[in-house]
Amino acid sequence: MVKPKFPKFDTLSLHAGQQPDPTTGARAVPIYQTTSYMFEDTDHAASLYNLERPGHIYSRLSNPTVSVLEERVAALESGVGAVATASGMAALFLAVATLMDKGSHIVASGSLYGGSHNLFTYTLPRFGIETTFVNPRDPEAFRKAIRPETRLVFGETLGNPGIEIMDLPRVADVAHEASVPFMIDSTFTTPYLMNPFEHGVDLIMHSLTKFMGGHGLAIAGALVDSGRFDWYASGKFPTLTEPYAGYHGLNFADEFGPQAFIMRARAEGLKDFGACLSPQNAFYILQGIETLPLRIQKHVSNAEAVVTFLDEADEVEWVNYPSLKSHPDHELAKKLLPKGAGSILSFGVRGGRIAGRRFIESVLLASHLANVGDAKTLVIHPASTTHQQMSTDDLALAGIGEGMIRLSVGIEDIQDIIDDLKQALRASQKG
Amino acid sequence: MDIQVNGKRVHAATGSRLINKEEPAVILLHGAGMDRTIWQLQTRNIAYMGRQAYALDLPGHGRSEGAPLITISEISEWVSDFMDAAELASASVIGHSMGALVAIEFAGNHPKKLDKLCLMGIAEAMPVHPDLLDAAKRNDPLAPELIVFWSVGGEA
Repeated sequence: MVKPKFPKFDTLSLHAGQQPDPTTGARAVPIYQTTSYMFEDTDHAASLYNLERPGHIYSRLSNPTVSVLEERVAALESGVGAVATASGMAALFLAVATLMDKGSHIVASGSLYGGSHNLFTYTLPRFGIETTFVNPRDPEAFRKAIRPETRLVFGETLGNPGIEIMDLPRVADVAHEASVPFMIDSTFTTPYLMNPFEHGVDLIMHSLTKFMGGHGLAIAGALVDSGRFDWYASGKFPTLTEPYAGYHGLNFADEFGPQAFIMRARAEGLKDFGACLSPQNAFYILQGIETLPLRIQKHVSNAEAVVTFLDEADEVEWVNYPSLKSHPDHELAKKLLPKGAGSILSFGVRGGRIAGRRFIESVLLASHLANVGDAKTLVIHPASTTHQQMSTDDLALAGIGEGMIRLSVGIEDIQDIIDDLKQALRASQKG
Repeated sequence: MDIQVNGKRVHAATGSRLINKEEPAVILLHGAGMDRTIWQLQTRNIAYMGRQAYALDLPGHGRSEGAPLITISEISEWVSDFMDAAELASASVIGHSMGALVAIEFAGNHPKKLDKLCLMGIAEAMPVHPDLLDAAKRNDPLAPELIVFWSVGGEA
């Protein structure tokens, strides 16, 4: 019996979307630092503008360096296409704007990155789009929150900062029974730890700034389309199944089939909203993705060692990480995340807010900043920073206590990380 | 556009351009296991060059109703029936892979209905690997995986 021999994940991380430059022989991805591209003649120009031919027009719409990144991310996620964006938030807004109009509704996990929560809570309502937040661990709550005007179900593979694991297959079933797509922010797990499309997810967004880049050099995002959601059968997405006057009556689902969503996101969203990724930043992210498998293995093994240390430390009241048997999603983690549950964890220092502050001010190796997924170990106090705009009730729904510390475990030598945490914990109890 | 052929709905992408019956017609035929959307940009480019473009979904494929047709000859007669339903006296036919075999058969049987013939991905003999046929009979996802693997080749 013959078997197809598709390149495996580690190979795709290095090669997907790129061949050596045919003109110069350059092996690395060239940075095409250009705004515009020469047309062969007026007919060629017109056909590019009218989506009749492949090719680049202007780097807000597409760019050869950015295209390599888009193809690589799509290949790693097994999607039919991707659009790279200026940031993860730009990817989230692009998805919402491509799918829905005024009067629409979103059902979202209540445990989200603070920026996403802010977009849904305060900004989208100004444009007539409302969101209901539900417990990410309760698929039935998603079902109950769905309304006739719901157009998207949204969550994160690992909640932020509570590290809740969504039961993706069950939430996907809920979304599909209501004929709406299920989108996941897969930033914390990356395609190395989980392929959400295998679990019924329809669309994926990433902040590529985090583990995908890994170096903390560049802000970037991506939106990936599985190509599996049947827009016609749903009947709820006229932006994809009805003629669009912006392109002389173009019907995206009719002409582009499984790529309808990602084509419309580029042809309308990138064009009109303009949150494109620069070629320089795409290049930086590509350098990171080359080592994604190696880095994530080390992130996970370091995180598991840190969790073991924290779990036994007297100064720590609780530790939240799915590899612990005490974590409510421990069994689900084994099923959905067999290669590990990432390297972001949260814990509570004995002594509440004051001790937590002393801990953060005492770390020497770990960096106190507003990011995760860097190769370097990072710490933050969510209640006063990333999630500070949330109300007390929303903080409770997101599982954020006042003393919670979020740790993004890096790939330094594990003994150095543990020594740093040990001395900072000791310092947290003095005062 | 949707049109009834032999009592079943047939779907064709037209490049999202309004059909003008005064213009020459071009029919695009997809290969096995595919549908109209393999012709994404070609359909639009042909339409906007001033043609009636019809990228057909074969029966049981894409958005066309009915059971898939079994033989090349049956499909070529169905193309002729589509032309009658769409009131096309003649058309140029573009076929890819199995669609090219259909186009040849159509050209032989209906020379008066053919303007020009364009064949892509075709050879004098087109045997299909027995493992692919077996997988297709079992409705095994291995079948489309093999089609993709052999279509893309080692260089891409």
